[in-house]
Amino acid sequence: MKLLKGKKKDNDGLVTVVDKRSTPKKILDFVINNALYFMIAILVIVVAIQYPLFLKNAPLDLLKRTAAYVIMALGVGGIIVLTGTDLSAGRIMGLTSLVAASLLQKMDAPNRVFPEMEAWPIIVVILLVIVIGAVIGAFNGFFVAKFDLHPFIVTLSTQLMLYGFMLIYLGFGTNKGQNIAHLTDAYKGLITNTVKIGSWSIPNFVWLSIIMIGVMWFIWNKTTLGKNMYAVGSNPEAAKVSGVNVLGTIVSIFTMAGVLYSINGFVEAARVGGPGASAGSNAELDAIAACVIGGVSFVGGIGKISGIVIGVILLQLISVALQWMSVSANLVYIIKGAIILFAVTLDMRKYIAKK
Amino acid sequence: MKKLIALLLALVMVFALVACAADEVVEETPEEEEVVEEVEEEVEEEVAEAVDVVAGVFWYDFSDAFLSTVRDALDAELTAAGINFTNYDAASTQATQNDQIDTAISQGANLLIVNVVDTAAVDAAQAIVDKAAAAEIPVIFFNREVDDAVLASYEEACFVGTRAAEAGEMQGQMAGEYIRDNYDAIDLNGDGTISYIMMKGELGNPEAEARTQFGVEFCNAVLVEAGKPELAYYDANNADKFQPSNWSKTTAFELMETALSTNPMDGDAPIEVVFANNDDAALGCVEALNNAGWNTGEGDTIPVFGVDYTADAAAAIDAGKMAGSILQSATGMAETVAALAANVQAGKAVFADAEANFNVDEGTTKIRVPYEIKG
Repeated sequence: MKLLKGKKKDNDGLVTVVDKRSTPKKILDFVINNALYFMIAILVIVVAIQYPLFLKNAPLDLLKRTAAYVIMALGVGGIIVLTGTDLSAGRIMGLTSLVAASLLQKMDAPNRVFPEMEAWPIIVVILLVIVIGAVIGAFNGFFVAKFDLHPFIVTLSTQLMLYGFMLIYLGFGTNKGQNIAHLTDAYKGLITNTVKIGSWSIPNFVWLSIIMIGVMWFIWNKTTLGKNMYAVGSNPEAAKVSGVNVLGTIVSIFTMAGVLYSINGFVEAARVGGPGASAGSNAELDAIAACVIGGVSFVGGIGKISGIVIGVILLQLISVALQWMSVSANLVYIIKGAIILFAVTLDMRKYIAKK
Repeated sequence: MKKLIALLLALVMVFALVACAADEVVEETPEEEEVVEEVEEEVEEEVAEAVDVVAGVFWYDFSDAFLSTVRDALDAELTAAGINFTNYDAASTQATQNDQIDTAISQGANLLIVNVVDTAAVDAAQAIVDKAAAAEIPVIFFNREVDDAVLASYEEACFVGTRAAEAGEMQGQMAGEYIRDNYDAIDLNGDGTISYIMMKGELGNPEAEARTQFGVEFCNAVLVEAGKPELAYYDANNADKFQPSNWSKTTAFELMETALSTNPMDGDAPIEVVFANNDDAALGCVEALNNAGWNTGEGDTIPVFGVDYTADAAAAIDAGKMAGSILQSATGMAETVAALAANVQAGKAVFADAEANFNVDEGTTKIRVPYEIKG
C-alpha cells in the first residue's frame, strides 16, 4: 500500500478522510463494497427458509469445517501481507500429516511405515512436526528474502520437492504407498473427542483453532514482528530505511506459516484419519482464496485476522449451502470461482478508489 | 555492450556443451548395441531371438493408493524377469505423460507400459499408439481403459485391465443381496424405502461412471426381484444422484458430514446405505458416521460399500464398520502385465498366447483381470 501522508489508516487500509460524496452515492458505495456479505446473507436466508433444519444443523458443520481450514489460512495470510504467496502450504501440511500419522500408528495396523516401532508420545510428535514445518518455512523464507526471489517460484519449487519426499516416505516399511491409517486412539481422541455445549458436540480441534486465531491476532497486532510485517508488506524500501530487519521479518513470517501448516497437518491426519499421497494437495488454493475473500490484499501490507476468519467461513459456507440446496457439482466450481473473482475485484476497487 | 557479449558467449558455451553431450549419446548408442548384440549372441544358443528389454512404465499418478500397490507388485515382477525398467509419474497430466514417452523412446526404450492419464477421449491413447508404431515398439496399456479402435490400429498394442462395469455390477449385486436379507433392520425410519448416498469418483472417468450407474442399478434389480421398492436418493432434490467425492477421503468425509447435517441419523429421513466408488471415499464416510456415533464397529451401523479392497478397508470390514468391498487384484494385474513383457523379452509378439492364458475380450487385444467380492 502506498503511504497516504497525513491521513490516519488502520490495518485494513481504510482511510479516514472528510467524505465529500453525496449521500445516495455513499449508500451505493457501501452496498457495492459489502456486496459479498449481502449476497452471502441472502444465500443463508434463502436456504434457511427452504430448509428449516439448516439453522439447526449447519452452524456446527460450518464451525468444524472452518476450524479445519483456518489454521493454514492464518499462515498464508501473513505471507500475502508481505505481497507473497505460498504454493507449498498444502504439501507442508501433507508431509507433516504423514509424519504425525506414521509415528502414531497402532501396532496392529495392516501396513506400517515403521513396522517394529511403538507409537511415540504425542507431545514429542507435536514438537517434531512443528520443527519440520518451521524448518521448511524458514527454508522458503530464506530464499525469498536473501536472494530476492518471488515466493511464487520458491514455494513452487519446494512444493515439488516436498511431494517427492511424501512419496518416498509413503514407501517406507510395509506401507508401500498406501494411506497411513489406524491411528492410535489417544491421537484420534485428542483431536476429535468432543465437548458438549448445549446441543452441540464440539471437537477439540475447534478449540485449538480458536486458540491459534487468538495467538495470531496477538502476533499481528501487538508485537514488533506484526508491525514489521505490515511495514515490509507496504513498502520494503521504506521499512528498510526506517531500520526494520527485512530479511529477519520475511524469514520469521515464513517460519511462522510453516509452523501453522504443520499444526494443521497434525490436526488433519487425525480429523479425517489415514492421510496418503494426496494429503493437503491444493489445500493452499482454498486458503489463499479465503484470505483474498477476507480482504487480505495481494497489493501487500493490508489484511486482518478477522478478515481471514470471515473469508474461511464464507468459503466453507458456500460449499455447505450449495450442498444443502442440492446444487450440481459442476455448478459449484463455477460459483466458487466467480465469488473469488468478485471478491478480488471489490478489493482492487477499494484500492484504486484510495489512490 | 560488454554484458551482451558475455551473455552471448555464455549461450554459445551452453549450446556447445549440449551439442557435445548429444554427440556422446549418439556415439554411445552403437557401442551399447554391440554389447546387446554380443549378449544376444550368447543367449541365442539357448533361446531364439531373445531381446534385451528396456521398458518405460508410465503411471498416471503416483499418489493413487491402489496403483501404488500395483507399482510395488509390478516392480517386483519385472525385476524378477530381468527386465530393465524406469517408472515415470505423469502427475495426472496427459501432456507430461506424452513428453515422458517421447523422451523414453529417444533414450532407446523398446517397450512402453502405459497407465494412460486421459481416459475420457480416445485421442490421448491414439497419440501414444502412434508414437509406439512410429518407433516400432510394442505398447501395453493397463488399468485405465483404452478404446478398442485405438488398439486395433497397431498390432503390437494391447490392454490389461478390469471391465469398468464389473466392479459396479458386483458392488450392486452384493449390496442388493445384503439389503434384501436385512431389509427391516436397514430401513431405519420404517418408510418401506431404503435411502442411499453415492460417493462418485472423478467425473468423466469411465470406472466412476460405471460404478455409479451399475452399483445402484444392480442393487435395484435384486430388490425388485425380491418384491421390494427401488432405492431412493437421500436428497430427493439432487438431480445428479451422487456427491462428487473425486476418489478423495477428505472430500468424501466433508460431503458426508454435511449430508449428515441435512439428513441427521436421528431424524425422519436418515441415510440408510452408503455406496462409494472407491474404498478411500467409503472410509471417509465411515469417519463422518463415527463422529455421529454410528459405524464405530459396535452398536448402530448402516451398511457402507466400497471398491478396491485396500488393506484399510479390509480392516474396516473385519471390524464391522464397512459392509463390503470389491477386490481389484493388484498382483493379478501386475502379473499379467509382466507376462506380456516377458513375451517381448522372448522375442515373441506382445500378445502371444494371451488367449490361452488369460480372460480376453473377444476380437480385441484386451485382457480382463477379474474382480472379487469381499464382505
